[in-house]
Amino acid sequence: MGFVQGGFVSAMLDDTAVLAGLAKSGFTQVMPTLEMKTSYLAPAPIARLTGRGRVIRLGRSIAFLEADLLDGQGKLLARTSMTARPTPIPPGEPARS
Amino acid sequence: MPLETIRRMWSGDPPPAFAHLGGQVVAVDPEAGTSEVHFFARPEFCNRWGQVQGGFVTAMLDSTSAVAGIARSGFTLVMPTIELKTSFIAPAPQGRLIGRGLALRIGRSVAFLEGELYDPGGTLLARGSFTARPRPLDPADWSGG
Repeated sequence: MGFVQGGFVSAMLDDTAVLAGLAKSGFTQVMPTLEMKTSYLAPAPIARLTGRGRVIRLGRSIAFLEADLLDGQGKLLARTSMTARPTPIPPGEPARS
Repeated sequence: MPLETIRRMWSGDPPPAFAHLGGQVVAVDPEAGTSEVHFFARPEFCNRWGQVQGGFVTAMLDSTSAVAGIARSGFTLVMPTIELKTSFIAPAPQGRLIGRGLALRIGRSVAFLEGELYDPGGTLLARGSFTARPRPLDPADWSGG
């Protein structure tokens, strides 16, 4: 069919949401995902795609994150809501998901 | 449909994403609506700590559950996912991973599917529940999810 498989869409949304959480923590915490739910609103084409992530709440033990995936025209393709566990970045590790 | 035929459907001309994940259909039971699919998690699927990134885990569960749904339909329908939820129970290591899928219900317009991912020792790593919209399987352009 030539559309991006749903799990790969989730992989992009995962990285996008986690990056928002990392930024919100002042780049002091990573966000291992505990659970995520993705709604697929339209097929994702083979093309440049844009992820937009946001933090709903960053708590001490639980973070709630969201992310959208858009095509080049700004059409919403998929949205995810995620529960993660904020964890200090291990010493000596650069801040990345 | 014999397992050999089913295996050929996925191994001869597999969906590219399925091939990328190292997918192999090991068993299907159309009557029970179950599947067993093996994957091979490569280093490029992983985060900095060598654990498989959650979206790739979800991709494996998506394929596994779609195979179960396709089997349950008697190989007449494909199962594009409209919504899924994944719980990440333990970090998934690189190497061989085992997916087990189950078709809970295939309706006329909506299907409910589940998938679990295990390590070779049988530890449950993740579980996904899927809502899909069944569509006719075109043998010339079918998708294993």
